[in-house]
Amino acid sequence: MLDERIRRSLAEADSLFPDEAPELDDRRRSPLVVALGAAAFAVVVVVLATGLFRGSEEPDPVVTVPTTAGTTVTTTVPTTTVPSTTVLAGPSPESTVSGRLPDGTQFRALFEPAIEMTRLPAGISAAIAVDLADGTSPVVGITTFSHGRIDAGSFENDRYLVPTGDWTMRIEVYPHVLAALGSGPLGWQALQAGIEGSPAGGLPAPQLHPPFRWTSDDEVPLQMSLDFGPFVVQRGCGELAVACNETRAVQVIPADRVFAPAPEWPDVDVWVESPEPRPETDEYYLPPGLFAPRGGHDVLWTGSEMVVWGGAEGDRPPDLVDGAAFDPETSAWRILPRAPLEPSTLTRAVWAGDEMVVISEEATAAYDPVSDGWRIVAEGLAPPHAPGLVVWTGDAVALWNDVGIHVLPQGSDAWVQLPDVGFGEGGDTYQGALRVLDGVLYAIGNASGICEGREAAAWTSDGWFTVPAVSLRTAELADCSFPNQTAVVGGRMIVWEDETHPTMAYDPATDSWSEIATITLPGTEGAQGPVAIGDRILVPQWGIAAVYDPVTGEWTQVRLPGSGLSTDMVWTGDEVLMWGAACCYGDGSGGFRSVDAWRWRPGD
Amino acid sequence: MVQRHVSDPVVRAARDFGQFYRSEYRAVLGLAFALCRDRGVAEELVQEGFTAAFRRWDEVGRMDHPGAWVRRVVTNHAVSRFRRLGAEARALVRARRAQSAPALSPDAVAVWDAIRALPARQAEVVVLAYFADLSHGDIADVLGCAVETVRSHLKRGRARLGALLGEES
Repeated sequence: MLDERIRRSLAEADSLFPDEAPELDDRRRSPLVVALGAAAFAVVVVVLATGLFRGSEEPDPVVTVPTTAGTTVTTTVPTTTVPSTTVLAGPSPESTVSGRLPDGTQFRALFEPAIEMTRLPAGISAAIAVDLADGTSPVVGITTFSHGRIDAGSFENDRYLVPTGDWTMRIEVYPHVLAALGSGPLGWQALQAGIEGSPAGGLPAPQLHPPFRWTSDDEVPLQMSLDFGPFVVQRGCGELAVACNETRAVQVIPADRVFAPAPEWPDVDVWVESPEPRPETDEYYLPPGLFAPRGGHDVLWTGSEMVVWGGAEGDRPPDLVDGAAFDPETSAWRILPRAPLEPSTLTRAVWAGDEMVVISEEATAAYDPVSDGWRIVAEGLAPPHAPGLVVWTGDAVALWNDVGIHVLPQGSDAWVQLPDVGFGEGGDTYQGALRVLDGVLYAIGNASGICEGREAAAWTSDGWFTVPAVSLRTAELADCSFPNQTAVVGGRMIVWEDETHPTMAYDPATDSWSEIATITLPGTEGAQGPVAIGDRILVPQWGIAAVYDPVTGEWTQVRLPGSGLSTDMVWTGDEVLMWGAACCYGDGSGGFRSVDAWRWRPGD
Repeated sequence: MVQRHVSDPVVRAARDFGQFYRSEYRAVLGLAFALCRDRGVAEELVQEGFTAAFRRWDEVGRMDHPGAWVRRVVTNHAVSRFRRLGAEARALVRARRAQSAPALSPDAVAVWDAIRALPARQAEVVVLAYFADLSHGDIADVLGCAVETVRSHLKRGRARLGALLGEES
């Protein structure tokens, strides 16, 4: 009976798939075709560069674009909508942009883009190096868009319609601003924008990214290394949008961070990614981070700075071993020195009282913000995939990975694996969260794949001390998301599920759970980990957040600045700082990472 | 431009791969969809899997079961994708489901969701057994594990599915 039901259900989906396979893009398949394609690409560019081709009979206007520092870049703006198969910029030895910074430093931008052409525009990346006066050419930015969807596909009658056409990319570098754009069926779209200089002016501190590599054994994405051709500036859409075609914007970035105002541009019908419109003001915007967009990173609050650390560009390994810190007092970012670690499959970071501890399989390192230096503190350990599984207990770092729960006592150079916590089926893997309540380490979770309830245990010097399990009365097939649905506030551990289940609290004084709210709100599944804001819990998701107030015993919904999925947040004591987002387009078909940052005070 | 004769090894390899791609595409797409429950993501995974196969076609094309190799790549990508993105991916998929989920019957949706709730390895084995109709030995080839391991995962997966779906396994 069960077998038949499974087969029938799976076969039902089978009928939805096309009988014939779509073409696998030739450029992805053959190095030969790639080479030929690159050659053709170059020909187009040469034609463009020599003025033998124009998208319009009218000559393109020459536009002088002022930058935030007052330096100008003169370039040519195409005047017509360019067919998706037309290449505006491409391989050419002329692909450099030079200029002079306010302090007199000559700069020259070298483009080393790698473009992955696929049936879908699945990956575009580029490294931007800058020639400095001392003869070095540090990479100041790597922009990557890979394995997201930046097409305009849509579902109609169960068929996914994907506009085909070539994509290309161009990069714009001003002294303080960089924008990387991709061109596709929708027109030019921003892939990354906004690398700004320090408040004192000048180039950002050299940011030494590791070389961009995919290292998976079974996948080496096709990449073409090209020098970019003529430097082309894309017009903006009104004063806010940089990603547009004639009528729509797909990303909204204040124009003064990317382009000079372009008032001649028409009003745009802006797509927003969240259910609620983004506030039409930039008062919440912080300067963007000085580094590449990323996913799977950690965001920490040190007591004076928000640190963004690690993660992977394009959400794919290797994880970066760099990061930056934002000081809300000065509203400025600073790049952290690179960790003494090799890029690895995964790293995790946790704030451990007075330093940031970064765990990778290679080694465990610590960053001291006072000395602005790193040191290796312990052997390596496989980090967990979720950030809610590494905590600071007050005297040790605790970590829960696929093997078990480990602790690194302060001052020790060796991880110690704790005895099995003993949840669920013996010997199975667990999913759960680690939390610290009154200085005691708690593990909460259950055997992998069971979502009905959660077991809990507290670690003492005598071993694991079992506390009552909490039943969430979850009979349905919910996703288990323990790290995002467990928080400690007001001396209690709070767990919740979704809008159909009660919110429960564990009080260590009575060693018991109690129901503290009968209903939550949609969205409390939590795309990101919860943030304790004072004695309240904030659960961010999709540009909104659910806030639980233990005084009133109610969940309420607030609207946050920004609108993307997966914006990380920290609580400073009087405001929430937010960084990054995985944004998707209005139809849910695509996404990209941003480096936008915001601040928000409860009550705003 | 370099022109190549149809007997050229490069051309022949491309032709062989084309046949392989067309014959396997639908089944591999089904597998990817089963693992990620998102049509768009599944298509992307399948593209990645076949692209990887093409790049190594000299090697993969000589295998006894090149289809198993592609399924393994797709399976690995699906699992790593969801492990990495974690809750974010689930949230994204949830949000996209409303707009992009194919029209399945409520019971089929329940079964798909139950499979997605299984531990990754169990879900892979269940899908490969029931959807791809592979033998235990072929599944072991795809997943790179022992046949006994496949049986163990299948047994536990069925048991858990039965519990989740309220049926005797």
